[in-house]
Amino acid sequence: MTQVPDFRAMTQDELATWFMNNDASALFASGNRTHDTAVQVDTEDQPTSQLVSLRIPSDVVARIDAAAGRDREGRSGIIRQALSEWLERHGEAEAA
Amino acid sequence: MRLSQCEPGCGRHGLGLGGVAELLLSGLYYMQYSGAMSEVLWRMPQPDERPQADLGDGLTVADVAEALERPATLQFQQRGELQRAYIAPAADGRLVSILLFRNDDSFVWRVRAARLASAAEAEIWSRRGD
Repeated sequence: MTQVPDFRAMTQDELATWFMNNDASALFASGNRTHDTAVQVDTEDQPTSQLVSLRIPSDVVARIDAAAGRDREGRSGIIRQALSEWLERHGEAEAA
Repeated sequence: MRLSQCEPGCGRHGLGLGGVAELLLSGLYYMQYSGAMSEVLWRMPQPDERPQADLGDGLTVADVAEALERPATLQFQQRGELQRAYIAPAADGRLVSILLFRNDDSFVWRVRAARLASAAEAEIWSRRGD
């Protein structure tokens, strides 16, 4: 039987090395379970993106999803790219 | 300061009486203290920062970001005092295990290690709703 390490006695480097080279079920079974929302921040601790909700006609969503396919960024990526291209053509020039 | 950046019991921000009352009235303190869903701030280490993140099994920073930003219902999250661990799918469906640390003086969690989930971890993830 594999011995469970004492995670609290390990340094961060030791724990990271152990994590990379072992099944970490014991770690996942320790501590507390949480259901938090992860928000990516920059070096100034500011969120790198914001969640925006908007209504889009269902048929357009279906076409976006079809176009997204297995694209890594999916539906959100296509919408982000479309908005960036639109801003490049219109918004940023007008704002400047 | 964002409330969500505080750890439970954090007293370092010197909330005055008015601030405490405001928190209690808003119900946000209850959310934070009870461990209900809150925001966790994270980032990858900067290029000049040590230690860097160890990404195994060909995972990319994008894979890690996608897995971390999945809805909580699609994640198995574990939390210790200064470490967090996640099992969650990347955009292509591969199940990823991620380890993050934070320092005593920071609210921001940094990715330290990530790799594909083991079979046993995948089993834990599949039972996350139990």
